[in-house]
Amino acid sequence: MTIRQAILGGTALFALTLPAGAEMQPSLAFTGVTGLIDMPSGDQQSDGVLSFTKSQFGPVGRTTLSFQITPRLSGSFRYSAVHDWAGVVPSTFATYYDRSFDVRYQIAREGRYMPAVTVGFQDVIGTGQHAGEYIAATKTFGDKIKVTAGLGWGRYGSYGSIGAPFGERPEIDYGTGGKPRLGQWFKGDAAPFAGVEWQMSNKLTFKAEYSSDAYLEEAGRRKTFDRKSPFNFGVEYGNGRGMKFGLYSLYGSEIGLSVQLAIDPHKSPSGGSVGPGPLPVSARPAASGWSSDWVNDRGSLTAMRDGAQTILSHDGIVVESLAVNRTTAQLRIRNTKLDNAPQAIGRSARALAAVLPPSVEVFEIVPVVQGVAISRVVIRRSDLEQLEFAAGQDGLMWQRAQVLSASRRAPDGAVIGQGLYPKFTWKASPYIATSLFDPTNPLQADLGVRVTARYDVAPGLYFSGSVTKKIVGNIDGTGRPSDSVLPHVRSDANQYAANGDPAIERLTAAWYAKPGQNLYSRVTVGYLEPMYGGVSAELLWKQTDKPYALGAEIAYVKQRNFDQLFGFRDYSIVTGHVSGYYAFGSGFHAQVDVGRYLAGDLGATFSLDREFASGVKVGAFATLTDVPFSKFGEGSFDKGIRIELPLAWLSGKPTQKTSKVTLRPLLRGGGARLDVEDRLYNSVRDYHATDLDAAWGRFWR
Amino acid sequence: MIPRSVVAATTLAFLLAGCGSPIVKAGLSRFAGTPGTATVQPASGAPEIWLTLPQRGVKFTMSLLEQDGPVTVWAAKDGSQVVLRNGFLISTRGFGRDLMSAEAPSLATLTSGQAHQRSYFDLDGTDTTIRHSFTCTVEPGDKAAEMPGTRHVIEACAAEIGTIRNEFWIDSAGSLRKSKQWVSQGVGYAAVERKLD
Repeated sequence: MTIRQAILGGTALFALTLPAGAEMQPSLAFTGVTGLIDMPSGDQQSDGVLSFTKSQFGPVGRTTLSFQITPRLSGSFRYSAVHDWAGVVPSTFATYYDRSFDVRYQIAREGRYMPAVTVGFQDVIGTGQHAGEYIAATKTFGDKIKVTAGLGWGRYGSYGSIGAPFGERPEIDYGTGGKPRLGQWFKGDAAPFAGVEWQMSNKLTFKAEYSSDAYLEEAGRRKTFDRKSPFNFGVEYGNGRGMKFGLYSLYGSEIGLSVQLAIDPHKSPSGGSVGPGPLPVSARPAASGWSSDWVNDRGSLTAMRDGAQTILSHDGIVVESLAVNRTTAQLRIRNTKLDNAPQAIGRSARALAAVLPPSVEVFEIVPVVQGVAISRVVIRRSDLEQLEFAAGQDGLMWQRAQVLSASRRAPDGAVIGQGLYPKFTWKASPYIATSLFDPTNPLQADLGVRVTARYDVAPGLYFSGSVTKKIVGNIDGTGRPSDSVLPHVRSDANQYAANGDPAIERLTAAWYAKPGQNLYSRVTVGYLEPMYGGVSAELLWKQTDKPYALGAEIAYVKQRNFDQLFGFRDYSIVTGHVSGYYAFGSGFHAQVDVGRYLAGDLGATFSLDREFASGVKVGAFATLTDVPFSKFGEGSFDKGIRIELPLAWLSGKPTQKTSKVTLRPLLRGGGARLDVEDRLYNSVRDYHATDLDAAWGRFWR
Repeated sequence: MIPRSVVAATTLAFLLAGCGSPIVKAGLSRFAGTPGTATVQPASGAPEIWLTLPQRGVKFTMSLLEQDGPVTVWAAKDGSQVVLRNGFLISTRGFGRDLMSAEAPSLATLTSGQAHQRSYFDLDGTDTTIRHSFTCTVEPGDKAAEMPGTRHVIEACAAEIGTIRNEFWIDSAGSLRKSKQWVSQGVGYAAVERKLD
């Protein structure tokens, strides 16, 4: 009873007192960038925030994905639709669909007197239909009011112009799109815009703005709606966990709605990992009692292995082998469940402390992925005992632990894990396939069942397969047939999507090995992916303690039949790449692949990903090849955005499942790559120093 | 000195040195269980505490899993843990935004009313360790009546992220009977009370 009273009495103390101003959330505009209602602001989201905005007023709808790439830089990808497009002016489209991409940079952060100032470029590489540039300044007053004023060009300079300070805006033929229109930036008429936000409570925000967008094409020429007034008003309700709903009055004639979802990787929905706590580190008895009679006793070693396996099975860690001498033990593990690599190392060390004789002081933990030893993490048992309850224990342990390269084989005399090879496993699970951006039906989806099976023959050698059967869905393959003048290496995706029922997604034999100290290899043979079959070989050079790596990959593949069963079409090609990888630190990972693509085109792919230790990843890629933009077709070159959200980050439960999405405005033949499963770099680096360091906070978890 | 009594049985070294596998198997039966469950359960009849997380509106029992000198590890049924040093909360496991480790004052510092520094290390949503350093003062509280026979002491701490107030009820023998201590921004406070039976 007394406790309950104490709680109620103390409620006021639970909230942290935060500095003034920090409580106002930067809000999102109809365009999905940080802003007011239809106008942008000088604010930015918190570093790393990923947001989805769906908005609609009258005939104008937009769906936008935005990412705060760094604290000052953000990017947005938008899919927009304007209905009634052909109502007045004839057009082949009844609804005009378009994709656009924005970049924003905050040139000044908000200070005591200084407003936050952002320069934005809207629709930088699309068709230019939505193109506009702006400078916007936003100042917070107290902790409830934000005022924004800005100057816009392009779209944002089309209403209430004050003239063209930097000269006329040149007409540009966008051709097939996909190219930046540098010559237009900040040219032509400029117009001011402004607005104010009042955050009445944590949940309710009111907004008002003056818009400088005249909607010349949509309202002026095509009369899709009536722009009566430059003033917009709105109210937004947020649930405090990143979800917001808004209701607005736009341009004096339309009702607007918006739904916004902001995901902050720094705040996991579950708050963090909620799995069970670890086994406490067992104390060793006083030194005088230590004995080493067990060293040559095979039975004792087997008992230790079984002991470690029994303890580790709670965390889904499989003991591949255990070797112990008087002072050192080497445990080889396969982590099948924990989403965090250092946590698997920490739990393994705790298990060793529980089962090994006291004279064993050095624990070597060797993570094994696809049968291949990736690294050797060396931990001293006395450090484990000393730091178990120490403040700042993870940093201290990282200083004392070593990450070394692992030898190919377990030490002589190791006992091998039981029942690992050969082994057959299978599972069935539901799947969802989507087909986006088809102009006649932009969102199509199928739901079905996927059965996967795997037969492990020996370490590194296995057969695996994956079959899907559609149950329900509307992906019909009737969308625009490919007009690509290149070989249809990817552009018949709708045919594959519509005809594979059931489909053999993959059916392969794979062999992974470690041919040298810092070399990793893979050979995969069979039906490699839904569209191609053949043989693919890869070699990766990566040192355990370095942030860079080099790889090479070559494949001979034949295009598969649309039905995705056993037959092939008559297109085959030798494709391959040389790849360079670099981790910049703070989670930025870059990759460059140079080589020959599926259509026989030569070129390079550049990708940059921002990754968090929790496994949340957001990245972008672009491929430039010797296929001319005009021959590539709409979009000019291959590019896209990819997002990966681990289920463990969402739920807090230990699991290695992740949800991955790659968004490409268009999938065409140029710059297309083979999609082989389990390429080497990503399976190796989790247990190398750079990634272990980033995720080490969970060693003691 | 108090031995690590509860988990001592797991130290197979004893067994391996002189005996054969059957005893090893017997010792391991404590760890039997399915993936995803806690590796080890407290022994039956182990001492217990009440743990309350007011921000979540939950109150549950935790049992002593291990004692290592002044440090005690307590486990709940679902496998979540709290670690206390002389009664001061120094870590949690399985609460979401866990307190991974902490530098806590001694009871003497608290009873003498000295100003002191304190550090909390927690994991943010990206699994990155964040250190919060607090400067704390000690002041007498006025809620001693909630726990008859104790003194109520408040530790008020300030840091860049804000201020926190830990509360302690200390009995005449100089030990903590009850406390309400900060965990993290995601968890809020945890109230710990010794279960006397």
